[in-house]
Amino acid sequence: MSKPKISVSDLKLWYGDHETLHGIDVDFEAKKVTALIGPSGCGKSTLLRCLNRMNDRIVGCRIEGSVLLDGKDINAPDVDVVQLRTHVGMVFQKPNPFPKSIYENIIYAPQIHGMVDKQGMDELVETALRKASIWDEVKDKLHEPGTALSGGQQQRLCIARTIAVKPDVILMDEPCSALDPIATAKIEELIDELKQDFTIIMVTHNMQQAARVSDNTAFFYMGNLIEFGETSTLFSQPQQQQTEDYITGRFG
Amino acid sequence: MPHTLSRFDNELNELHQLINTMFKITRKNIKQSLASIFDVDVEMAKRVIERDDVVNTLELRIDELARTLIIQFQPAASDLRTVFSATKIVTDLERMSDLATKLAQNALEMDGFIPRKSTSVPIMREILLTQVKNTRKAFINNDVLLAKKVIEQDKLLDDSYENCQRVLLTRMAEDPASISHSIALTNIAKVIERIGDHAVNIAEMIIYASSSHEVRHLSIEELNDVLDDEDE
Repeated sequence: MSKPKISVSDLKLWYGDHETLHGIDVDFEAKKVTALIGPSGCGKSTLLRCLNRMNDRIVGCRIEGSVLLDGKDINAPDVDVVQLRTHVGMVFQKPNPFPKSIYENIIYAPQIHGMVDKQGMDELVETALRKASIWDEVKDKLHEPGTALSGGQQQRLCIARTIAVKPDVILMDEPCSALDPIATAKIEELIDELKQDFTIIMVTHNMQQAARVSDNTAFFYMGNLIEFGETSTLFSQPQQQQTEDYITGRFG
Repeated sequence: MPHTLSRFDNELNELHQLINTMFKITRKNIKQSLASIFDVDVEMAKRVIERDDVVNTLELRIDELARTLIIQFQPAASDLRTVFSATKIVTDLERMSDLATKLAQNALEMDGFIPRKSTSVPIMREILLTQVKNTRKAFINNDVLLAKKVIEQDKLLDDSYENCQRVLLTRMAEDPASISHSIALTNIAKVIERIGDHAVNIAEMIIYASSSHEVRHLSIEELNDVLDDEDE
């Protein structure tokens, strides 16, 4: 593997007294799609949220170990979480556009971060929407509410909103679970295009989706990383019995 | 461990049973086509020719079931290898049965000539029947080592075939009157050798399905290395 974009070492996480992640070691390759799979409660979403410190606000949550982004510890005291999240963006399970216009959804974060002046706004909006493959569908209604779009369009709007602050990494937490098959296919197609520019780490319960869109796959079980490998190998020749049992549906 | 969906296990089991049936009939066809030549049994040859249709029908049914399994369950890992190898195995079984039909047609055209006392064709027959028997057994038991033995046995078959060709060429040169029978024998030897090649293909798929090792196009030495690594 080339130099990892994100390197997780011996990461442990507790909610109160309960240890949820038991020392995870995993590297995420730059400009690749990595799928995190495993049964509910295995720790995959918890790990995903560690990658941009989404767990910070959870009372009683504590972590040990390190998460390095380009070699720098994201949990170091001098790291500004807001800045961190401009580098590591997140797309959630349910599309969650702001109750504002499509245009405002895109420029909201770049404006807050002072990343764009008035002249650059139109260009930024168009670029982000084009990269999220939704420009053609919304270019004539940019000032209509984002919430008026279909579920699939809203999710692509949310991806455009994430892209607008030019992150290095995009985290996706089951981005298609609320979408129909056509909208899902559009997001998968988009993920394939986005990996030219971004490192993508995606939690999914849909193993066929993991097999289709990811380059690498990590299988988690009960807070442990059981197996990590190239997706094609992991789905045809898994090395661990637990992985084999899970992906063949012989589990639990 | 059983699959969460019992229907998947049932259909995978049905796939295995159907291939086993196809194996059984194909093996019978090979055995009886050779017997029809060696025992000059025209009726037996005709029965082999008729039975080829059953094998063809089974091939289509197994392919359909494999397609259904893929569409409905998207198998992965060992299940994927099982379904993938099933579609390859039935193709080889169908070809083997076609070749058995060819042997049976030869029997009808042999005009009472028995190859028993000449050349290494009878030896080839024995090697092939052992090879086919072992292939089926390896399939039933997912036996990687027996599948490997099938591949090794093919060397004996190839050597016997070469020997057979040499003997027949010499005979044809020395005795022009034997040419027509010698050509017929060459054809029979060639078909036996080809059936052996299909048995090897199947053995390679059995190894792939059971162990996940891709062993096609490997030499015997490379095959041993791959499987020895697994033992370690």
